[in-house]
Amino acid sequence: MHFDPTQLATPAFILLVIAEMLFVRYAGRGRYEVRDMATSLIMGFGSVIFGTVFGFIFVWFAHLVMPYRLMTVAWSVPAVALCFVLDDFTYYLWHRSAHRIRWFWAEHVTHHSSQHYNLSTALRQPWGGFLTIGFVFKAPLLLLGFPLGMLAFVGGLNLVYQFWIHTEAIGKMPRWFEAVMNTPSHHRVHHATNARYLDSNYAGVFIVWDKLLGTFVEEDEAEKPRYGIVKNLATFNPFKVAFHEFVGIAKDLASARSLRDVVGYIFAPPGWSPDGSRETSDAIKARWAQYRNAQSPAE
Amino acid sequence: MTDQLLYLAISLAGVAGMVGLCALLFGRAVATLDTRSATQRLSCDVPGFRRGNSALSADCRSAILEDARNGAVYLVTARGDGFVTRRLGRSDLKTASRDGAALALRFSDFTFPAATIAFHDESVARDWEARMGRA
Repeated sequence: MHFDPTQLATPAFILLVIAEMLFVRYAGRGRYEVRDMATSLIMGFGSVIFGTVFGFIFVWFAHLVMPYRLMTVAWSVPAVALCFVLDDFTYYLWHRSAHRIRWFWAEHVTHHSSQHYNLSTALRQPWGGFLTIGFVFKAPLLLLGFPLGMLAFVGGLNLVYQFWIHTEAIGKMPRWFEAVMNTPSHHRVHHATNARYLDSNYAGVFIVWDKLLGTFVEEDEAEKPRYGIVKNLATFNPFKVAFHEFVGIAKDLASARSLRDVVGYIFAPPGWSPDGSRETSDAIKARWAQYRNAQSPAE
Repeated sequence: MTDQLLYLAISLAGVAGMVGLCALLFGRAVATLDTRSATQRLSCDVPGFRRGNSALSADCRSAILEDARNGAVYLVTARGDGFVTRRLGRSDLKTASRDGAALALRFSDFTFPAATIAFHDESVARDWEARMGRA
């Protein structure tokens, strides 16, 4: 079965980005910047090219794993629904790792590199997936017996769902929806660099994973999210956007003086350094908490 | 193959069209700052930041500020309609040289383009060149 939800949704993506631009221009809610948007769209375009060229690696990996599957799940509506939910959980796990392990962050940082938050940001997709091989997170589903085509299908649906949540044009959704689903409000928090919002809301479709696993943070009306990364990029060059963290890892490895340094530079959280001279998100949050407590000791 | 090339061409034309529409609607924004907004921005990026000495570039697109708590020197500079901040410590700078009232900075971070910051007064540039050497 060959049915790519992302490809089918592309015209809707384009129309929605245009509609949002008009909304931002005339309602004044949200921000667009030409070079930022151009970079996001080029990153999206490039990710399709890279995905096409290197997609065979995932197919090869799947064919390595599938002979060991426990059973074979046949295509049916309940099977697809179950696969969608389980796939979303593996997305959560991958996404959490992508923020906590530098190797995966090197790929994912691309998506967070814009200081803007609009629908074009959703299209700012990485090019380095073939290097980080994050698709190993799908292995349990293959081992359970879900067919590769079904995984590709639900993965596409997941990606399509996540498009519309990249906007400032929508405030809050109805309470029941906010309780279960990932929404623009929850995902704004995820893209924020404010210390209180760092490393939270990793969900793709169902925000319940964050609520169950202790990574949920509610958007605070009093603290507007500031988007981007802790050390924002000063370039719109798509190649630098796509690969700068890989270059950073390579430079650090060249200066590593022990095996501990090597392992730390690759697998420790972004910002880790042997001498502690850089800051991880945990360190930033701790410093922020210390500062906040000093400012208002009664709280 | 022809179909794929056609798909590629349509996609690129689509990207160009959307960027064109964005330019039409929003123009090419140029962010400017003053000492207050530069301080605000640094306070966001560096929790607890307390402004000490500071200097604004002549074009109001960059500012150099010192953290009164520890003497650390920071750059706030415009990129598009927003700003980027960087600490200007010895390990962050490849070179810092002065030509009259202008400071030329080259960064260790390869994503950060070299910057020339022109001040109104040569003494300001000289003063910050010295501070960066100590930071």
